[in-house]
Amino acid sequence: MELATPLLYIAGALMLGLGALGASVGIGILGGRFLEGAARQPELIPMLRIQFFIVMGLVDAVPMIAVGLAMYVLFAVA
Amino acid sequence: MAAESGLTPSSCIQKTNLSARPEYRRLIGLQGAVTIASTVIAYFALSFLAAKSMAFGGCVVLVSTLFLAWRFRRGKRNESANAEWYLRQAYLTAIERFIWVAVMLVVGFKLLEFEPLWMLVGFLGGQTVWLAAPIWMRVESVK
Repeated sequence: MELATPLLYIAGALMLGLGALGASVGIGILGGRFLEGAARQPELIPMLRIQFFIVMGLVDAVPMIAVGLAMYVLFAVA
Repeated sequence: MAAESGLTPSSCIQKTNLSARPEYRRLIGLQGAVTIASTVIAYFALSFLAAKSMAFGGCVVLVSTLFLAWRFRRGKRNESANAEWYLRQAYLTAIERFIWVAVMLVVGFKLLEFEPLWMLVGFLGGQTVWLAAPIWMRVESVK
């Protein structure tokens, strides 16, 4: 019982940390590809921009769920 | 190849600009619909507090999507914007969305004292729309 609360905090921290790691890697790769595409064909920037923003929302969705779960664990369960 | 088929890069860009906006609207509309539906179901099946909690969770996701759409529209209006500007805006919106979601969830859990489980369910319902978006979302690209 005494060990449960610290473990919950560790679980929350891991969820937040790994979620942030995944999001940063995903958005970093996405941003790099966007710059690459924009450098190759600058006239396609408006189209790339749309796809960039949409895919960014998708990449962000799972880490956001992890943030929600972590907040639940930290503030409601622990 | 593109010129032979009557598709020039500029015509594709125009087509894409026209088709992308309804996609965003549909996404925001679907998130709103999911939030309203889950709130109504929670009101009749559970309790008023559960319904309020679910509505709050759904609204957090909805506003986070509106942040993204706002940044997207700002880029559309700014004609002198280049790739670096778009990238900066995207990183900025990623940070602001993260802060918004984290702060609002803490406010909901601690300050407003909503029911945590139902608030999380409302939040997950909204996020699931984003996860399901690739199934129906289509942005045209140059062939």
